[in-house]
Amino acid sequence: MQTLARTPAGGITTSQSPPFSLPIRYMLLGMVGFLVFAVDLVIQSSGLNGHNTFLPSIVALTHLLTLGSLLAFVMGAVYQLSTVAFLVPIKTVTVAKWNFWLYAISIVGLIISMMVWWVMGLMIFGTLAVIAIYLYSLIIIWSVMATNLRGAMQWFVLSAHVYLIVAVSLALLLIISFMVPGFLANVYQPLLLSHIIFAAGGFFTFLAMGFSFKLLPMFTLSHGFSTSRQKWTLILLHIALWAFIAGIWLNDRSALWVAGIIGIAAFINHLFDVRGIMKKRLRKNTEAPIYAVLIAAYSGGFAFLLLFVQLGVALQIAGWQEIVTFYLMGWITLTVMGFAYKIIPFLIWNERFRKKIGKEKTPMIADLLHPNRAKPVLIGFLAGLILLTVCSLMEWIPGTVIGTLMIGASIAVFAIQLLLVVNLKKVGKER
Amino acid sequence: MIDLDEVREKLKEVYDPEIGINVVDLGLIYKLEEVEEGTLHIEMTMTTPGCPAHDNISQAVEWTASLAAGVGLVKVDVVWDPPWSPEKMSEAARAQLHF
Repeated sequence: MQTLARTPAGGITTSQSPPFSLPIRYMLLGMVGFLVFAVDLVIQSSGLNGHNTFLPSIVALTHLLTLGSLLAFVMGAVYQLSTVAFLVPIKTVTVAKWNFWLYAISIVGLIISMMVWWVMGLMIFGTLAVIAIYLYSLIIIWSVMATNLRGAMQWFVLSAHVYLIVAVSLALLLIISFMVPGFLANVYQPLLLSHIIFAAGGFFTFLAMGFSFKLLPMFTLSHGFSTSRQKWTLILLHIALWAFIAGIWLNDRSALWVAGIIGIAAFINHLFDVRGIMKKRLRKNTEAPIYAVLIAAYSGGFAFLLLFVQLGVALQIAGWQEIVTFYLMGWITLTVMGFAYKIIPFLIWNERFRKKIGKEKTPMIADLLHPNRAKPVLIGFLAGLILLTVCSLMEWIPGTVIGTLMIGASIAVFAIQLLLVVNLKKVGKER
Repeated sequence: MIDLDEVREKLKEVYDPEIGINVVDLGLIYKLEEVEEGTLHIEMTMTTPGCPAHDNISQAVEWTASLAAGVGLVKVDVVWDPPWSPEKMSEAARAQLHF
């Protein structure tokens, strides 16, 4: 007996997945990062408020979330999902694999340097981290540019990575300003705010929206929804981002208002898209992780609304720390958590059971980690975030501590759940 | 002579691991044909292009079909035209999805 599976002559090849060991190493680093972040968050819970943003321990905590957890996890996810969304292989898997070690070592060194505020350490490890992030971004841009599929999603992902390069370049300038007294001293605040905007509003936002257009339909089995709004979200988001940058550098409040309004419009447009996808879904039982992704999108829009109120009603930029925290947690972290609950079990199932499918009884993906188990974790996270945000704005310390503890506990459980699915004893032996 | 009904029944053992519905009820199998004595040609699709389970499912279809009586050679073509649509699902699959 012979068998032969093939794609039709002239047909497109759809399976371009990189070796399992590429995405999982980054995702594993992200999961460990989430766990360490959760512990550090609990430890620092009593000292968290908008006035302590620039304490070394808080700067380190923030980057433990952004670089050590979110970006590390997202890099792995992008290596996997780019091949699915754009039907192209990753251009240089070997470089991407080696780059992991550069990234891992540099961010560990960078975060420790931030904790103890060792400026030379910031310079050394910061430079290495920037090189690793440049390499990652260029590999993804190179790979995604090769796709034959055209559409807004490609531009979301490309834009995200260009903004990531800009964000980390600005971070390097900030570090140089610490090393060289007087260098860029008069533009330190706009430089810092631009770094945050390009990272959170640029990279993470464009990426989360872009991949939602593929992941939401895939996980909800949605077909026949309109994609015509996607390009408008893309354009609005670019305008909002650059209006923010203009407002900050020109110290022009009206530009900031425009940015706030257009940012809200971008999220509203995105929410219409998401609603369209959900209306056409075939899987009517919506799972908790998917609900989390939907709530995250609303949170992103709400954060822009808060910012607009802050600028327009309170007439001040002070207080942006709470809003950035809400945006980072409520939009970006919640989106990553929601999709992680779906992506990790799939990756592990694919690696461990794919060869057994059809030959022996194999579990379903939900048997590895049932989506219902995400429900209490995500509810705890959201409740904690709401409490933290409200109490921070009201400057009620006990509430912020309880909110922070709830967020920390939820993220810790989330990371442990995923690490148990991955099973560290097995994963080291897999290709 | 291949019993195509037997092949179809066997393919009901191949499940989409994410959705939990077999490939026949999902409507992924477009064509089962004995093109020559002992040679089975299967034309199938996926719910979405780029489906990460593509390789697994098509290989499982190929393997499972090869177990049917009289099958000497299996050729599996994954096609995208016509694209999969919800109408291709069986009543059982629709009920399972509450669709």
